[in-house]
Amino acid sequence: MSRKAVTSTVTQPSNATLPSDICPVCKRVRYLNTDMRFLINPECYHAMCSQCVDNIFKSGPAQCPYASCSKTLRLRGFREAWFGDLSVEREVDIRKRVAAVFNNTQDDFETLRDYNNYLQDVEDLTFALVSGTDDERRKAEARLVAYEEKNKADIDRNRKRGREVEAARKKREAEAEAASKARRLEEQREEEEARKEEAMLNREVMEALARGEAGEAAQIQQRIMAQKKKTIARLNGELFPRPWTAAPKRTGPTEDEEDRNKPYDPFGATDLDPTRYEIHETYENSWLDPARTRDDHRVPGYSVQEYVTRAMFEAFAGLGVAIDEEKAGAQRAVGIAGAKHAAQANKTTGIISKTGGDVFG
Amino acid sequence: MHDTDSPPSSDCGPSLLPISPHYAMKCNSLAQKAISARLQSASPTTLCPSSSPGEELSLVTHYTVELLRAAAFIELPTEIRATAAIFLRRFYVTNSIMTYPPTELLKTCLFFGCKAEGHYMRLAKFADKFPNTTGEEVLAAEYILSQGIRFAFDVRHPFRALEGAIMELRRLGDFENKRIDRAHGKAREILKFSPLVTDAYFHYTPSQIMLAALAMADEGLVERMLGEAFAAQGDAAKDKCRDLIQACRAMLEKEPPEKMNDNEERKAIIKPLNRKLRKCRDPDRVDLVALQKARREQAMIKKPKLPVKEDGAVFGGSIADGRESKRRKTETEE
Repeated sequence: MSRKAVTSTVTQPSNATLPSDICPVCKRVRYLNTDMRFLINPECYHAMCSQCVDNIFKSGPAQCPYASCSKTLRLRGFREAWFGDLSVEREVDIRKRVAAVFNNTQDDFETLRDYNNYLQDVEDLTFALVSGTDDERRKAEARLVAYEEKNKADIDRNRKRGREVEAARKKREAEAEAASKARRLEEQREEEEARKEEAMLNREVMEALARGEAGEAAQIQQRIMAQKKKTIARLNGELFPRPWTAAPKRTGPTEDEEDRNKPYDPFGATDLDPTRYEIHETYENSWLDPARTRDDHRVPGYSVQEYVTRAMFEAFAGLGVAIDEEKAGAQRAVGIAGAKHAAQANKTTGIISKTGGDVFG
Repeated sequence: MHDTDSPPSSDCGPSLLPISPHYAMKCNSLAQKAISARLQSASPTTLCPSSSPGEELSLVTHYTVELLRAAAFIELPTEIRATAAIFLRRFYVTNSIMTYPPTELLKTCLFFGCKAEGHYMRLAKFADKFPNTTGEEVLAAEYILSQGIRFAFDVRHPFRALEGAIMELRRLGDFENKRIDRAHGKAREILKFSPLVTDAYFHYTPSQIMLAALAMADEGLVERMLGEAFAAQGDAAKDKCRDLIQACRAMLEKEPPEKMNDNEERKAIIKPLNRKLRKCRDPDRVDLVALQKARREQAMIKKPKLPVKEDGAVFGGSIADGRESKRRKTETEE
């Protein structure tokens, strides 16, 4: 009796998940049947393998093979579950059904509040169907059916309208797709054409050269170019580089590009290794020994090696510099200019700073 | 090659130019001109003697020694002494000793050397250490000094270089430790005095000065060092470097460290020069404290503000003017 009263969506909530390896009905194992598929029937959402379904329901409706289940199932109703969690599968089914019945849109209501109330009602009903008690489910189902009966015309109209909207959207998308495809084809065609034109120009020049027409090769080229001015102008607008007027082709990237592609070197490829000395691990220095060995002399952040490096650098740095030679010119320039300036201003201080010499030069 | 030749000379700062007789003469003659004009205008009857460049140089040297003695007196670290001494010498490259009094500048240099080397000392404490000195006096010449050395406060010293050279010599292991130690001590003494009272800092790089001092202490060590350093660069570079070191050594030998305490001889030379200096110095700059005060006061007097222009002036005169003239024009036409 209860079986009759309950329609397809209103089923017991179940917490079952889709089995992955063993069919709960025939106990066959996936290990031996690699192509095993599990099917469910939305009547009771009990999963079984496709072979069981075939065996049991081929000859007509039969009772669900699950021990506690008394539903009668048909072969037609079986399908594969989309979700592994069968309770989710069931909820989705219910929502689909409810949405098919309560398919009003916002335009069907006068105020936003009405629409929101309607949505609230629908959600309440859905919730009752999905996770209510037996009683609630039955009531909700009754309401659903009653509403369906009552508003059959509206529902059909809305469904039709929805289909139209959907169709329009699909059409729009298809059009956009077609347009972009056409554009791509057009581009390809233009490219092809440009290539052909270029080849033709080339050939003409070659032929002219082969015929041995009067004038130098460059002149012949220029003449043909002048004739085909229009074509070339169009060609130049294309993706192709200018075949004639462009600078001679460089192989490889330009110097500038090469520079830019190199990793940044702050020292400009300067070799910073010392040439006049080598830094060794240890140097004999009785003053440094405490800093090296004694714990109470050690300070974080101070490295003896740092001192050693610096001392060695200073010992050998600038040995080859002859200041007198380097500054021979500078001395004259600053000295005389500075003195002249000072004599004019009758000042004896800040002579050099006024001449604009480089302070740190 | 880069690392060893790139560092600038020990004294790249204010001078750029080594003290040459030519330059000293210019400086000296300029000061003479200015000061004698000033003195004569003040009291036309006074005869104004003036120091020659040579005399000035020996005065500067004398006051550098005085500075070193003062630094020893207040127990400053070596590097600060050296920095202060170089400041003084740098300052008198572009200023005549007749223009600014050396005794005041000497203290300023010491104080400023402390600052430049990051060795903080309270001004009051510093001034207390010298007799008859106030903090104001020390500070009065500070800006003049900074200006005179063209704000180049970095001085490269050869002291650490000497440590490096000694470490390298020890590592080479060709010499007895005793010999190296003796040379080390002697070279240190030389570096603390001779390059500071001569023009070595202006003419040679720190490493050259260091090797020259080491050569004065022990020639063999330097030869070994040069052989090691120029092994890859050939004899030409080595010979050139050796010449430079010899020239520097000759310069240093004029002022051996023994002269530091050799007061009698120096005083005998300096006394008449000092007397002369007192007569011919710039009367405007004798009292630096007063000079500084006067300058401050002058700076305090505000310049009269320029009259504020009208906004319209940006577009070349106000519009009203143009209209006025137009109207007048029409009037005349009528």
